[in-house]
Amino acid sequence: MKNKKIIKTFFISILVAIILIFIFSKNPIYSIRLFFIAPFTKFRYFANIIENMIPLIFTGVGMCFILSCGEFNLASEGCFHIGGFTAACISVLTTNICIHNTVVAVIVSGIIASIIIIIPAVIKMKSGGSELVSSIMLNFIILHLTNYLLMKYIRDPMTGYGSYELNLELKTLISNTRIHSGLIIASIVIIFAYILLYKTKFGLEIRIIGNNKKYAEISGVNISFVLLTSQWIGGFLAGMGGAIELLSPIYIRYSWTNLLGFGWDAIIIAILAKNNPLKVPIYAFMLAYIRTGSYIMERLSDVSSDIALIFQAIIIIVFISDIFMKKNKGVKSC
Amino acid sequence: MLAYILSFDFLYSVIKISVPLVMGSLAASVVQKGKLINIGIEGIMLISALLGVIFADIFHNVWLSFAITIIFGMSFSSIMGLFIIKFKANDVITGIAFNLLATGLAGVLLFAYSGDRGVSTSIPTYNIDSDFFIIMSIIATIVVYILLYKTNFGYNVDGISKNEEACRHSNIPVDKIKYILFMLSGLFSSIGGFYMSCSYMSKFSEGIIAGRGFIVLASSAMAGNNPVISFFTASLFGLAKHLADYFQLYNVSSNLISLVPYVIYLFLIVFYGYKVKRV
Amino acid sequence: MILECREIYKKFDNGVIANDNINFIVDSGEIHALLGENGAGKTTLMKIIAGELSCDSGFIVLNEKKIENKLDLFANIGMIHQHFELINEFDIAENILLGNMPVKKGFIVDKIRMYELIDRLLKTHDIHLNSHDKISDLSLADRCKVEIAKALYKGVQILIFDEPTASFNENEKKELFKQFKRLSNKGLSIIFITHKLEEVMQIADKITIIESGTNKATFMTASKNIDEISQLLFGKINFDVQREIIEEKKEIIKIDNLPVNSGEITTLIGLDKNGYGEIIARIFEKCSEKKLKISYIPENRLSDGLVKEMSVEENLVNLKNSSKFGKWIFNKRILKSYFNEQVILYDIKIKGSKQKIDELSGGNMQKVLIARELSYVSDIVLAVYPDRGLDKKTSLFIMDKLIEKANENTAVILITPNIDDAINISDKICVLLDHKINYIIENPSKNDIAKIKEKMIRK
Repeated sequence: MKNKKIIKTFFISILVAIILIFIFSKNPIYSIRLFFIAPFTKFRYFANIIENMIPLIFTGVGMCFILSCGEFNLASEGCFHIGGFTAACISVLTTNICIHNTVVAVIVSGIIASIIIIIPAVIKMKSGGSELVSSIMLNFIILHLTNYLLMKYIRDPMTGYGSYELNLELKTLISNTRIHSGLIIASIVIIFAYILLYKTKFGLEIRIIGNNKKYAEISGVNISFVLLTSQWIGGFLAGMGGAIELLSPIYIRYSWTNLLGFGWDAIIIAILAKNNPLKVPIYAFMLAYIRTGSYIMERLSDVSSDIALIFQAIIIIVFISDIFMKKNKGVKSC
Repeated sequence: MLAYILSFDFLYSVIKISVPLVMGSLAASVVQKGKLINIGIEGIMLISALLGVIFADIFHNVWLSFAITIIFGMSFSSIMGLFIIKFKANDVITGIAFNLLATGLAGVLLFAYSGDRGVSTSIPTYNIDSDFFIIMSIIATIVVYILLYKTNFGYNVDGISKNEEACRHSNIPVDKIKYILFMLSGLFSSIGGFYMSCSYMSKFSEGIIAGRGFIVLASSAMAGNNPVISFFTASLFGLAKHLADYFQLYNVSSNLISLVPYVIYLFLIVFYGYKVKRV
Repeated sequence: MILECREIYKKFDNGVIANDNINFIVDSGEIHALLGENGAGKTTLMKIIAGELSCDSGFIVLNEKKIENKLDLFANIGMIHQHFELINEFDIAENILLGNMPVKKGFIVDKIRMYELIDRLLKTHDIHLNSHDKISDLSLADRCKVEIAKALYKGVQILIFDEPTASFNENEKKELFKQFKRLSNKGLSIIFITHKLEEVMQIADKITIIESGTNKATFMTASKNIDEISQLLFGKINFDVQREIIEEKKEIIKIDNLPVNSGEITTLIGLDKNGYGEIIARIFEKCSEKKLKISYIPENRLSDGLVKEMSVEENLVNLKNSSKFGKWIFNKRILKSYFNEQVILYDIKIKGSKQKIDELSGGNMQKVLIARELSYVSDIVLAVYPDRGLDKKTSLFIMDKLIEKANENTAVILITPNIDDAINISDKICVLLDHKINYIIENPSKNDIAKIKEKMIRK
C-alpha cells in the first residue's frame, strides 16, 4: 500500500519531466534518453552518481534525526558548509601531525557543526522563537562568516576565491573515479543511525516526541535532553558530511562561496525516506541520478539542468499531499 | 564618508534597496497572520524576476509584462495554497518544494528562451523607474494594514489564527480566507521579484534574489506581522545591505557587514522569541 | 411541534453506528432534556440537528418545512458545546459579531456601533455583562451567557446545550436555569444534554433517553419519579468475577483523606469529563512526590496513550521498563517474544507486529495500551474509563486484568462512570459530587446501587 504511493509519485514526476522536455527541447526523445538512461551507459557517469550521493547520505541521515523529533531545524545547510570550512582550515593551517589528520579534521568539523545546530534549538527552548526562521538565518550567517574568514585567513592570493591547496585527502576507492572512502564511512553511518533511531530506547524516545509530545511527557521522557541530542546528532552528521566532501578527491582547494544545497536536499531525502536511515541511500541515489542525468542532458542537448529541481519538487509535492490517500473523515462520536 | 551617510542620496538608496524587502515582508505577514507560513516567497520572487524580463521582451512592453507577471505570481501561490489548504500538506515542506519548483523553472525557462545560463545577457532590457515601486510599497503597506487591522476580513483572519474551530463553527469561510491570504502573498512576492529585474537592475541573474525571500521571514517576524512596523524592519535589513555594498569601496569586508542584520535578528529573537508560526 | 426528526441514521467511517433510526420531536417553548450513557449518540444527534453534521438517512422538519440544506438548520438552531466555541483573546462583541461586523465607509469596521449593538443585545436578554469584556476574563458561567447571546443574535428558535453545567457551581446552575425559563417563556425551545438527573428533574419539561444509538424512552418529566428514571438509565448488572484476599495491604497514597491501599481496587465514580483531569493531575503529583511508580491508562487512548504513526510492536514498549529488552540496543528476540506473549495474553487481534496502531479497532488499541501499562510492575495502576466505547466482552476482559493486578498487591485506582464495573470489582467506591467526595462505601454489593446513584446526584 505504501509502496504504491511512491510508485505513483515517481510516475507523475517522470510524466511531468517528459512533458517539459517535449516542450523545451528540439530533440525531445534524445534529451529524454540522455536524462534517464545515459547515466547508466558510461562508467564515468555512474561514478558521478555515486560521488554526488555521498554527501547527500550524510545530510540525509542527519535530517532523519532532526525531523524525527518533530523540529524544523533547517541548519543542516550551514552545518555542512561550516564542516567543510573547518576541515579546510585544519588542512591548510595546521602542521602539527596530531591535528593534521583526516580523521581528526572530520571529527572536529562535526563537533563545530553540532554546536551550530544547537543554537536554533536552544533559542526555541528558551524563548519560543521559531527554529525554522532562526536556522535559515543562521545558514546565511555561516555563509558570510566563512567567506570573510576565507578571504582573511586561508585564501591563496593566486586564486580568486580559493583557499590554499588542501593537503589532506581521502583515498580514492575505485581508480579512474573520484569515489572516495567517504562511501564506506557513509555506509557505516547509515547502519549506526538506523540502529540508534529504531533499535534503542533513545531512538524510540526521539520518535515518540516527534509524534505525540503529550504522551512522551506522561511517560516521563526528558524532552529537552532528547530534543537537543537528536538535533546535535543531525548537525554533527551534516558537518561530518561537509568535511568529508571537501577532503574528497573532488576538491583541490576550498572555494565554497555559496551554499551548496546539500542541506536542502537532505530535507527532501528524509521526507521520502520517512526518516528511516536505511532508505536514505535509495533516495540519495535517486537525487544524484536525476542530477547527473540533467547535467548530461544540459551538456549534450538543449534543456537546462535545472529541470532536475523541478523533478524533485514534483516528487515532494505529490508525496506530501493527501490526494492519493483516502480522506480521513472519521469524526469521533460522542 | 559621514557626509554621504547623512545625505539624502544615501537615504534614497536605502529606500530603493528596501523595496523588495518591504514587499516580501508584506507577503510573509499576510500569511503568517493566518498562522501559516510561506517559505516559497524566495522562489516566487525569482521566477517573477525572470518572467518580468521575458514577457517584457515578448511584448515589448514592460507594463504589460508587469501585469502578466503578477497574475502568474498570484496563481503560483494559489496553487501552493491549494496543496496546503485542501490537501492538507505541511506548509513548510510545501513551501520548500515550491521554492525548488520555481528555481528549477527559472533555470529551464531562461535557457530555453534565450540560451543564456545564469544571467539574461542576451535579452534586451526594459526598465520602470524605481519611484513607481517605492510609492507602491508605501501604498501596499497602508492597504495591508487597513485590511488586516480595520476590516471584517482582518478580524476574521485574526480569529482564525486564535481559534480556527470556533471560526468554522460561526460559519466563517476559513478556507476561502486562507486562499486569499496566499494569493496576496504571491502578489506581493511577484511585485518584489519583478522590481529586482525590471527596475532596480536591468537584467535577470539566478542569484538576483539572494535570500531576500528568507530574510523577509525574519523582518516580518520581528515586526510581529504588523505591516507598518515591518516597513521599518525591512528597511533595517535594506540599510545593512546598502552599507555592505558601500563599504566594499573602502575595502571593509562586505561579508562582515552582511552579517550584521542576521546577527541582530538572532539577538532579538533570543530576547523576544518572535513566533513565526505556532511553536 | 417545531422540530421533527424521523429515522435519523448516522454511521461513521470507522464503522460505529452513532444514530440508528432515531426519532426526536421538540415543541416550541419546551425545555427538553436528552439523557444517556457516554457514547450513546446524544452529541451526534444534536450535531445533526444543529446542521453541523449530515445524517446518512432520515429527515428533519423545521417549522413544517422539510429541510434540504444544513445551512437552514444552522440559521435557526444554535448549539452550545461543552467546550465553548469562543475566541478567548477577543471580547464579547468581537466574538458575537465576528464575520458580520458593522462597517462605515464601506469596509472599515465601525467599532462604536459594534459595541452599541452588543450592549443593546445583552441588555435585551438581561445579561449583565459588558460588550468590552474579554472572554478570558470571564467565568465559565458568563462565557455560557456569551454563547447564548451569540445564538440569540443569530435569531435562533432552538438552543441546544451539551453538558452545560459541567463546571458550574450551585449559583451558576440556578442562573442558567433561570435563563432557560426566560428563554422558553419567550417561545424558544431548549434542548440540553446531561447526565445529571437532579438537574433534569428541576428544569426539564420533557425527557428523551437514548441508548446505543436508539430511542429508549421519551416522556414528560412530571410523569415519572427519579427512581424510575434512573432505572431506565442504568439498566441491569450481569457479571461476576473472582477476587483474592490480600494479607499485607498498605496505604500508598491519600486522595482527599481517602486512603488508597495496595491490593485494593478503589473506584472513583461520579466525575464528569472535566473533573477527571484535576484528580489525575493530583494523583500524579502525589506519586512523583513519593517517587512511586505508576501505570496510567488514559481515557483518550489515541491522543494521550499511544503513538499513532508507530507500529503495534513499538507501542507495546513501555519506556519505563524497556531495559528488559537489552541494555543499549533492543534485542530482537526478546522483543519478539514479549510481543507474542502480550498478543496472546491480551487476545489482541492484529495482522502482524509491524501493523500501524491506528489501523486497529478501538478495543484492540486499548488492549495494546493496557498490555503495555500492565506489563510494568508499578505501585499504582490508574485506569480512567478504560472500557470507554468498548463491547461488553472486552470490558469484562479489562476488568479481569485490573483484578489480577490487585491480586498482585498493586493499588488500583479506577475512575469510571460505569456503576456496573464499579460494583463488581471494587473494594471501595468513592462517590463524588461536584468534584468533592460525597460518600464512601466499602465492599459494595448490588444492594448498594440505589444508594450510590442517589449520592451521585444528591448530597
